[in-house]
Amino acid sequence: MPAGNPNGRATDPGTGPSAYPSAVVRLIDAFARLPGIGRRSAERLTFHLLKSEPEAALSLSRAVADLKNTVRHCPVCYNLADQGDVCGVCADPKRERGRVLVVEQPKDLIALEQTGMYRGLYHVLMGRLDPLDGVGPGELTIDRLLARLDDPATNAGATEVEEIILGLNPTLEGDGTALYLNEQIKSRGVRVTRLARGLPTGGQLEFANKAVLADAIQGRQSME
Amino acid sequence: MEFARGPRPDARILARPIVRYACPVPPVPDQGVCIRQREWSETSQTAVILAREHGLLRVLAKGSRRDKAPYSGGLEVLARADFDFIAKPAGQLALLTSWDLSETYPACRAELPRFHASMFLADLVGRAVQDADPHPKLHDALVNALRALDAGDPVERALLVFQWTLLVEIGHKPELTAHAGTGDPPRGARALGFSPDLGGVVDDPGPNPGERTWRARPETIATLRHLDAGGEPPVDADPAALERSGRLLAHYTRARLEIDPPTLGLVYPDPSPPRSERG
Repeated sequence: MPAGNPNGRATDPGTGPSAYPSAVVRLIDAFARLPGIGRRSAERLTFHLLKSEPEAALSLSRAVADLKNTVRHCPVCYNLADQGDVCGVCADPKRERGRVLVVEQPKDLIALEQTGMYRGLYHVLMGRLDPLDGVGPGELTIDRLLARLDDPATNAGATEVEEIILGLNPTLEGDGTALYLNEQIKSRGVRVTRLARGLPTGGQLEFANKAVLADAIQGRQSME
Repeated sequence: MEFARGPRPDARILARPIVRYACPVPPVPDQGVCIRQREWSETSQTAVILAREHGLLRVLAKGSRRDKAPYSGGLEVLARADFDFIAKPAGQLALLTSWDLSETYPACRAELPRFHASMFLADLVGRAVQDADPHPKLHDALVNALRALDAGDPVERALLVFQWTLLVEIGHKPELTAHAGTGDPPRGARALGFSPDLGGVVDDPGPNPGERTWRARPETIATLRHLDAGGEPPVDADPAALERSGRLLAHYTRARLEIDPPTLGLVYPDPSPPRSERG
């Protein structure tokens, strides 16, 4: 909350009383706390809302409130879902429910969905193992994933899981998480695969960085 | 309007080529291993690098997450690279201007024990080394340990050799021949004592050692003395003996520096210091 003064004007730290009414300063402060938005952009957004129709501003306000009041994590896969419901992917009966693709964050799931190439289910870990920061298996949703394997009733459509696809980011921590999951899952007799890595389609060898080229050489495929 | 007339510029000055100073402070080249990294913004990262000639550096890599940034191969934990940086005043992050990947260690991504060991190495360096305190030998030891892990050498051996070098480099090499408190020969036939507070071996405390005095097998101390003499354990050395020596050093480092690396339990699952060792 910005400091106020007896005139009802907000006080801008360092510059004394602000020329803006306190409501304007509060909104600028709120926008400026968002990632990627600086003070100047926050002012532009605020003045845009000031000039817009009341319904447009109130609609934005309601959308923000709904976001916090109604959006929850899916109880099956931890994707984003409406309160009290499973997510759209888990609810879709046309999905291949014996196949589960494991990702770190809901935004990874969205990226994969946009390809239209995958028709199975997902599981969102809500992070990755990060030993340097003390993030262990207990901080993620790994226990819920293993429960889906152990008890088909907890999977969408009460279907037995036949394949786990590890779709974690190809960082050291992501790879470490994949190693841990592989160790946990393979003892359960479930097939474990991981997303391919290496050269992107349409790319050129001479512009690929060394790590990508090393991955491509290590993960080369037979032409047979 | 009338312009003020001044002396005509010297023709020699006019003839000089225009020199553009794009970067008033030239970047400094070095090589190093990334110890930590964090996403700073959608396109930038902050990182801690163990630089060979400049010690531990905390850097900001602007635009390093963009495809076309001059950060070949990405800036991630335990990647080794040649890089350039611009130093900043104390308290500010140095600016990383280039990062040319030179070495990665794929086996540390392919086997869980090697992944844990490599994380422990990074954790130790980040906690035990002071900023901007150059330790070329420590840098080389880290690279050698990562290469050993990558080559399939025993994990216990790689960890032990690195930890020894770390303690020597940061000035905490334990006393192994004389009693660390009195300087006399330490007494103990079946075992020796080891005191992190005194910084080395002491008399055998017996089967019920105190919290701050541990009990170590003679073979454990002998392995450390071998390292102290400049030797390295053979590749086919008993892994259990190497593990005990490494665990002793890890707990000594933790107690001596008063640090608590979260990765310690991953590489030495036995949480107790070696006071439980039987002679």
